[in-house]
Parts: sequence; C-alpha cells; structure tokens
Amino acid sequence: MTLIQSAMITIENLNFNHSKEKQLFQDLTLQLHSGSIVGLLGKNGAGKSTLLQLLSGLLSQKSGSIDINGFEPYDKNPHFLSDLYLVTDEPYVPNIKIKSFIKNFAPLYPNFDVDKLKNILIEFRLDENMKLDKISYGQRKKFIIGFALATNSKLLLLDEPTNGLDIPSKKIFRKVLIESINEDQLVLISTHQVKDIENIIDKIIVIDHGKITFNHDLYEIAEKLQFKKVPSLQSEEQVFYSEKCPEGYHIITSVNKNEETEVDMELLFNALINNIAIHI
Amino acid sequence: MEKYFNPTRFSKYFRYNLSIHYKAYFITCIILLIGLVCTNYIYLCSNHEYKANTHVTIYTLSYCLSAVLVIGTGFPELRSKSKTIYFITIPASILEKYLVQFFIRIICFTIIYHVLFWISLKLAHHFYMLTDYKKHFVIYDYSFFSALENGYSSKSYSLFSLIISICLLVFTGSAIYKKFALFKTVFTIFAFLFGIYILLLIYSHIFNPEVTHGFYPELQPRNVYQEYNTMILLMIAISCVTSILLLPLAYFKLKEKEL
Repeated sequence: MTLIQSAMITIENLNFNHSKEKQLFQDLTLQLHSGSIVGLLGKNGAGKSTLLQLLSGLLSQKSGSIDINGFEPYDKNPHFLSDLYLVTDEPYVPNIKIKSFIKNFAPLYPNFDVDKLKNILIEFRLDENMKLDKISYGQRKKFIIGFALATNSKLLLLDEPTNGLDIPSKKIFRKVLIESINEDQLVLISTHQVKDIENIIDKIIVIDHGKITFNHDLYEIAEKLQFKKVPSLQSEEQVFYSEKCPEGYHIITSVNKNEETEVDMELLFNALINNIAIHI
Repeated sequence: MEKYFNPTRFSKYFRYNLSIHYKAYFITCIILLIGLVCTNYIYLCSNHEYKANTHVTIYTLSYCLSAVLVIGTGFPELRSKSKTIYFITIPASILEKYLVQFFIRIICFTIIYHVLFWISLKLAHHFYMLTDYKKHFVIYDYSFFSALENGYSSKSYSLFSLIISICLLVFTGSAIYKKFALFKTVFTIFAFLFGIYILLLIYSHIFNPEVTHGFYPELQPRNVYQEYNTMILLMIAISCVTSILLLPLAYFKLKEKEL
C-alpha cells in the first residue's frame, strides 16, 4: 500500500483506568497516519479493546489528549462519527433484513458505497434478503465488516474481526480488506490471532499491560530481522528468540548479508510478550 | 450549530429508528388498544352508564400507566453493552438521538394514545351493545376532542403538571439507567415522593408541633389566589422545577454516556 504520511490519530500522555481498577494506560503517546493497516496486538486484557473504545468516544480519558482528524472522540461530533466505524467482537444488529438495514442505515454515512457492499456480500456469500437476527454469528460479523468497509470511513477500528469466521471467510476478509481500503483511510485491527492478519498489515503495535512495547513498520522489521527455521541453535550467531518445532527451531535473528525473510508475526509476537528485547 | 442539529441528518436518523423499531411500536399500539377496549368495556358492563366526565378518570389513569411503560422503556439501545456501543457510534448528534426518543416516546405516544382511547371507547360501546343489548343505554357522545374540551380547574392543572413531571422522570430514568431502567426509575420516583413526605413531616413537626402526631404531617394549606392554595402551588412548583431540571439532565447524562 502507498503510504501517505498525514497524522490521523495523535494520542498524547493518555491516562486511563476503569473505575476501581489500577491504571491501565499511563502516559501513553502514539501517532498513527492514514494510508496504512495497523495490527494492534496483545494478550487478552492488555488494553487493546479499551484503546479502540477510547478512540471511538465510548470512554473518556482521565487525562491527556486524543485527536483524530481534529476531533476529540469523546465529543461524539456527528461529523467525526460519520467518518469512523467500529466493528466490535460481538456487534449488535437489529432484527431486520440486510437490505432494509442498508437502505435505512447507509444514508447516515455520506461516503457510503452501496456497490462496494454488494460486491463484498457476494464475496462473503450473503444474501440481501437474509434477516440479520436469523443468521449465524460468523455471517453477522462478515456483514458488519462489509458494511464498515462500504462506509469508506477514514478510520476503521476492527476489534477481533476474524473471531467467528471460518477459514475460507478469513481469506476473503483479507482479500476484501486489501481491495477496499484507499490511502486516505486508516485501519486499526486489534487481535490476538496474529496469523489471521499476517500479510495484510503495514505496521505492528504490541500493547502489554497498557503500554506500547513495540511499534514498527513491517518493512523496518523485515530489514532488520530474519525469521527462519534451523535444525539446531548452535550454528546461529545472534538469536533473539527461538521456539522448538518438529524440524528443529523457529528463530528470530538479526539480518545476515541483506537476506530478507518473511516476517513471522506469531513468532515475533511470542517473543515480545515473553519480554525478549528486540531492538530495531 | 450544525454539529448539534441538522434537519436532514435528524430525518435520516428518525427514519432509521422507525425502520428498526416499527414492529415494537406497532405491537405496543395493538396491546394498548386491546387494553383500553377491555378497560372501557369492563367499565361499561359494571356501571351501565357513561357520563360526560367519566372518561377523564380512565383516560388519565390509563395514560399514566401506559406512559410509564412506553416512556420508561425509551432508549432501548442503552440496555446492553453491544447495543450501547452501536447507539453511541451512530453518526447523529446526541441532541438528535435525544429528540428522536422524546418525539417518539412522549409526543407521538401522547397523540397516538388520544386516538387509541377514542377508538377504544367507540369499540367498547359497540361490543357492549352487541353483548348486553338488553341493558342498552345511550352513551355520552364522546367526540374526538372531548378530552381536551373540559373546563379545567386548578386541581386539574396540578394533575397535569404532575403527569408531565412523571413522564419526564421516567424519560430521564430511561436515559440514565442501563439495566432494569424502568424498575429503577419507578423506585427513584417513590424515593423522591418519600423524600417530599419526609420533608413535609419534618416541617410539620417544626412549625406545627402541637397538632402533628407521629408520622402524619399536618398541613394547613392557605388560599393564595382564587382557588389556588399552597398545597396545589407546592405540587405545581415541584412538578415545574423537576421538569425544567430533568430535560437538560437527561440530555447531559446521555452526552456523557460511557460503556
């Protein structure tokens, strides 16, 4: 994807805690630009969903600031909301037909593309006459993902989008996401199923206990690290992290002789959550 | 201003709201009509007469009861987490979301209730004539505007203000509370009324210790103007103040709604 470097999200010194809980985010600072698909990774309870809820104005920060295209999310400005779509893990859908939902809900999004949605529905094998409350959880999720993409919102927040999707649907999800997004948009995908978003993201952000422990573009990682499978660890010079597998070891090592390998996100994620220091 | 209210966006959101809730609204109207027909029919069978002002009691009591149920179940999207997320992120302003509920649950409901009551009375009369024709009597000719045509006394004004404040209390409750909103609102109303009773009791013990005994506040209303005594004025004042406070309270509570 072409990267257009214009700051869309600026978070500065964000502090947040749920009531009666210890501080979740402490002085969190982050800047994200449009024109990219960002993978927000972390274990359960790391604060991924909370961050998405703060970005969509569902929660208010205790201190610090969040700026999204000049809007403060918690103000719930309708112009801001019409340029944002949040797909939650368990999205609510009303008890109406898909076509009725599109007919009545789509006009609230000024950039909505009905043809794009129809194509996505065909890809996902969903019929417009299906009733939203009668279809399965996975089908509902696919419809909401399709609807979110068709809104052409500048900011798409997808919370565990692949949960409930079967393997062919996960493949279609990746395809439609890549095809639908343009360079004015930013997609933030929060997940702990890192394999599902491999090959589609441009940037990885790992969040652990409310702190951003890793924030790098994929091309940076590919330039500096190698991900390979070796029969033994003895022959390797600088191994940052290794995992045993039937044929030997999966390892992360520094780049040798400018030989780039494909980024193994799961391995990288495992290394990061095991507090392995990986400097890029 | 545009960020608070835009007529086009409001109409789109209003249409959307109707499209997803039209079944619930329709079923509510049907149930309300059946309930009103039954109430009026039972009343006719047991009294065999229907005088000029008979409808006022049934009209007022059924309105209060149905208003508590209809208005108290407003903002249905706020009852669960997934619906709240969906409701907050709908691209309409908080004022538009608030006004849609206010318009549907209070204004539309009041108009529809009036129409349904008129239909129910006519239907109940017809059913009565079919089933109990021997005790045939001429029903008071209840016209469509009968409920609005009576000369109102100071007592009815205080009753109106009380009904308005109850409607606004349940509306505010539906915007504030997440789960069991109706139950919590009714509880709040009783707590509020109990608070007023305690206050009057305390005042009664302080200012009229000789005549106040136990838990019975001894009120000595004085005539202030024409038929308006201090008790009626107190009721109107409480109703007006709560109404004025509750409207913005519901809005700001909705605006600050979090997960």
